[in-house]
Amino acid sequence: MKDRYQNRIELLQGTLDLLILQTLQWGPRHGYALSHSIRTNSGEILKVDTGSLYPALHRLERAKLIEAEWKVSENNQRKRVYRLTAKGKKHLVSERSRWAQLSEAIAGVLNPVKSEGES
Amino acid sequence: MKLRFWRRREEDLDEELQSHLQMAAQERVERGESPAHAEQAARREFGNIDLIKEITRDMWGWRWLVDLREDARFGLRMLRKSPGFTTVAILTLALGIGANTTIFSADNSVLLRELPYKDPGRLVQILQKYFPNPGEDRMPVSPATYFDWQARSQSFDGFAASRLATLNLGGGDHPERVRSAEVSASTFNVLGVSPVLGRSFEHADEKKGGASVAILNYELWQRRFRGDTQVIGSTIKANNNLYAVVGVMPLGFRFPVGWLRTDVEVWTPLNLGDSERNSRSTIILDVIARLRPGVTLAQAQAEMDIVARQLSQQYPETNKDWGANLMPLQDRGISDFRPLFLLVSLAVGLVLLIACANVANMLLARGIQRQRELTTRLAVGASRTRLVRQLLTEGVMLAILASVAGLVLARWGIQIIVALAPAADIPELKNMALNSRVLVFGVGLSVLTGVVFSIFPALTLSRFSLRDALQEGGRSSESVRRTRIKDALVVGELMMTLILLVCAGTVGRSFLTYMAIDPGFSPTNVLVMKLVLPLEKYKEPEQWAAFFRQFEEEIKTIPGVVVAAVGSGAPMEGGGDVLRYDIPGEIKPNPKQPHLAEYFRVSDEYFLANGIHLKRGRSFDADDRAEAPRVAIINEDFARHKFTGKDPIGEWIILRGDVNNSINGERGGRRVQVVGVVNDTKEYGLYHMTPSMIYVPVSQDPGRVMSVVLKSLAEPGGVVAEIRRRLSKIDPDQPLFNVRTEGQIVRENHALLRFNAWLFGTFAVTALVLATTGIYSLIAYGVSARTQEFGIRLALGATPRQILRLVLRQAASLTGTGVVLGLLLAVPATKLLARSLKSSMYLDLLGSGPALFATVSAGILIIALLTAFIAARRAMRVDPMVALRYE
Repeated sequence: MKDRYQNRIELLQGTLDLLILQTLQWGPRHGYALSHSIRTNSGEILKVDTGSLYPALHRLERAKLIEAEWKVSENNQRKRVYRLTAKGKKHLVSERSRWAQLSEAIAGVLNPVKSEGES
Repeated sequence: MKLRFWRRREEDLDEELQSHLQMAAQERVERGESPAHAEQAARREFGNIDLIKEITRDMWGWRWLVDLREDARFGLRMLRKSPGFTTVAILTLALGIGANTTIFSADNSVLLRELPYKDPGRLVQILQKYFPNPGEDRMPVSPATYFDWQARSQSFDGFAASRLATLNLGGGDHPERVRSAEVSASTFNVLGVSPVLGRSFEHADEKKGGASVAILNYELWQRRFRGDTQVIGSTIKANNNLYAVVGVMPLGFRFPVGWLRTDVEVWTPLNLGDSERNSRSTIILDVIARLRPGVTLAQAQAEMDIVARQLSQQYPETNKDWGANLMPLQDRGISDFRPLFLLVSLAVGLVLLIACANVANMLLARGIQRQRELTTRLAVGASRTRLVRQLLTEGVMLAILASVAGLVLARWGIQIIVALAPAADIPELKNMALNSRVLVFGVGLSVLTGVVFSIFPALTLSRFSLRDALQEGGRSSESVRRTRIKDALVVGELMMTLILLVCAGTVGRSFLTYMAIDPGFSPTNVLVMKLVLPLEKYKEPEQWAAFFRQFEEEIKTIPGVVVAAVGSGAPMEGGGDVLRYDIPGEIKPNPKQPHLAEYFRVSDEYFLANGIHLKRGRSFDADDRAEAPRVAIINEDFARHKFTGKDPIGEWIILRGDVNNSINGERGGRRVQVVGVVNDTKEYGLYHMTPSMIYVPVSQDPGRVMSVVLKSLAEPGGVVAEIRRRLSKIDPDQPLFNVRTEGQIVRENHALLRFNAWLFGTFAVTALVLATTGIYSLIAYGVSARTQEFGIRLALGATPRQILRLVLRQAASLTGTGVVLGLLLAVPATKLLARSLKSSMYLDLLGSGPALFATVSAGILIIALLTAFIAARRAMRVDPMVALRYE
C-alpha cells in the first residue's frame, strides 16, 4: 500500500485536463468517481490530488468543455455530476492527437539508437 | 441578486467537497474500517479543504471581485478610522465634482442639445453672406433667390423657408400676443416631425385667398385650449383674422430654434405677396434644407457657391456680392457661445484639479502615517500591484462618496444657474437638468478623479524600498521624492488659483467698470410695455397714430402715473429701426457707403419719461402735428459727427429707407429739420458704442410696433392691471406684452456679463479657499514631520524666530514659484478669455493691466504666507525635550 503511494507520478501540466475529459467520455460522473476511475485505469499509478482535481473541474466548466448538474443518487445523496459538452468532445479529439504526437516524440528522444538502427 | 448567486456558488462548492469526503469515507467503511477512523483518514487524504476551496474559487474568474470586495471593506474601515480626513477630502472633492457636473449640465443643454427633429445632423441652415462686409454673413434670403436655389441645387432632399411674425390672439379670457412663424408647407416634412393631432401643412395651404389655417404648439394647446382634441377644426381669432386649427405639434417641438427669446407657438403657411414672391431685394426668409444622403456640408457649400455665382452674374443688380453660407442647424444660436462655454468648462476643470491636488496631498501625508501598515503588508508578502490597487480602490471609494455629495451640490448649482441664467441670450439654459447623461458624467468624473489623486501616493509607494522603510523602525520621515510631489502639487494649485483669480478679476473689473457708465437715461420707476397693432385690423398709419394717442391719454389719467409716452422702443429695448440718411450738400467720401442711424418715433414726453435731457433747441410739442413741417431731434453723437463745429439746429437731414427692408434700392427721401439735440444714450448696452440717433414725432411718422414708457411715483408694478383694463376698453383683442421695468431691461442687457463675472468669481474664490487649505495642510504637516529636527535645532541654540523663518521661507518659495508660473500662464489665459467674450457677447474686455496682476499676486502671497504663519506657529512652540523624545 505504502510503496504504491511513493510510485505516484506527478502529472504533467495540462495532462490532468486530458485525463478528465477522456474519463468523462465514458459517461457523466462526479468528482470522487472521476478520481477513482483515473486511479483504477492507470493501474493505481496515477493518483489525482483533490487539490488539483476540483480546480481543474471548475476551470473546465468555466471553459464550457464540461458541464455540471446536481443529481440525487440511489441512497438519496446529492452529487455534482460532470458531463462532456460538444465543445469538450472536440477539444478531447485534438488534445488526444497532440498527446500522441508528444509521446511519439518523447519516445523518439528516449530511444534514439534503436530508431537510427531501424532506418 | 448577484449576491445570492454568489452565496449559492459557495454552498455548492461546499456540498460538492463534502460529498466527496463522504464517499471516500463510505468506501473505507465498506472495506472494513471503523466509521470514525474512516472519516479521519478520508479527511487526511483529501488535504486542506479551505485551501482547495480557495484555489477552486480562483477558477471561477472572480478573483478580482473578491479582492475588490476585500479592498473596499478595508478601505471603508480606513476612511472610518480617520473621520476628519475623510470629511475634508469628501467636501473638497464634492465641491469640484459638483461644480463640474453643474457646468457640464449647462454644456449638455446648450452645446450638446438635441434638436427635436428627425436626424437633425443632416439639417443645415442656408444664410446669405455679403462679401463686402465680413460681419454680414448671417443675412436672410429673398424669396426669388430662395426659389432659384431650390431649382438649381442638387445637394438637398428638401428646402423650407420661414419668417417670424407675431399674432395677437383674441377671444378667451384675455388677449395674448404670441410669437408665430410663417412656414413653407415643406417645413414639417423637411424637419421630419408630424403633428400629434391633426395634419401638417399641404401645398394648397400656401395659396393666397384660401382659408387661413394654423398649427399650434403643444404648450399653447394646453394653455389656451386645455388640451381639448376638439380644437382641430375650430377657429382662432388672431390679428383680426380667423384661422382654422388643423394640427398640434408634439411636446418639446420647437422651430425655429436659436436667436429667439420666446418659442414660436403658432405656425401659419408662408404667405408671400405677388411682389414679394418675385423680389430679389427684400431679404426676409430664413432658409433650412436637409442634406441628401451621402452629401457632406462642404460639398453642398461648394455647390451653393456655384449657384450663388451664377445668380450674381444673372442678376447683378441685386445678387452681386451675395453668397450662400451653409451652417449646421445644430449650431444655430449657440455657435457664438461655444468658446465661452468651453472656457468656463476649462475654468471649472481647474477648480477640480486643485481639489484633486489637495486630496492627493492629504493622501500623501496620510501615506506616511500609514507607512508602517503598508510596509508590514509588503513584508508579509502582499504584492506591490496589490497595494497600489488597494490605494486606488480607496481613492475611488472616496471619490464615489464625494460624488454623492457632489451631485447634491450640482442639483443646487443647476437651480442657481437656471435662476440667474441670461435666458434672453441663451434660452437653452432653461433646459438644464440633472439627467442621465449628466449623472453618468458626474459619476464617471468622480471615478477618474479618484484614480488621478490616488496615483500620486501609489507612485511613491511603488518606489519605496522595503528595507529602508523597515530600517527606519517606523519613524516617519519623508522621502525627497515624496516631498517634491507634494511641493509640486501645491505650486500647481497656486498657479491655477492665480490664473482663475486674474480671469475673474478681469471679468469682474470689466463688469463693474461698464456698469458704472452713465447710460444717458434714468431707469428709476420706469415701466415699459410693448404693443403690436395687427395690420389686418389697423390698416392705415392714421389709425395707429389715433390708437396710441388715445392709449397715452388714458394712461396719463391713471393715479400714480407721472409721465407717459410712446416710442419705437424704450432705451436699450432694441426697438428702433436702422435708417439710412443723407445730409444735403454733403460730399460723401464713399457714395456707396450709406450713413446709418437709429431711428425712433416718439411722442412729446418720451424724453421726459426716460430722463433724457435736451441739450440744445426744443423738444417736440403739440404743434408738431402730421401736417406741420417735418422735424427731428438728434443726439449729441450725431451732431458731433455730422454737424461738426456748427449749430445743428435748423440743419436738414434726408431720411432714406430702412436698411432691413431694402438693400440696394432707394426708397423715400423725406427731409426733416433738426429742432433739438438730446444727450447720448447707450442704446446698444453699456459696453457698446453709442449710436447716432434720430428721433421724429410719432404724429408725423406713426408706428405700428410701439412701446409705452411711463414714469410713476413709486414702484411701477401696481399700475399694470389698471393699464390692461384701460386697454381692453379701447380694444379688447389687443394684447400687451414684455411688461418690464426699465431697470429689468438694463439688467437683462448685461445679464451675460454679470453671469460670467459671477461664475468666474465663484470659481476663483473656491480655488483660493482650496489652495489656502492646501498650503495650510502642507505646512502644518511639514512642521509636525520635522518636530524632531526643530527640537535638535532649538537644543543647539536656534531661536524660535529662526525656526519660523525657516518654515516661512519654504512657504514663500513655493508660493513665489506658483505665482510666477501662474503669471506666465495668466497672460494667454486672459487673451483667450477676451477672445471668447468678444465672440459671444461682442464685448471688448477691458485690458487686465499690470495693476490687476500685481494685486492678485500680492494677494495670493499675503494669504499664503499668513496661512503658513498660522500653520507654522506650532514650530516655534516646540519644546526641545519633548521633540527629542518625539517618536
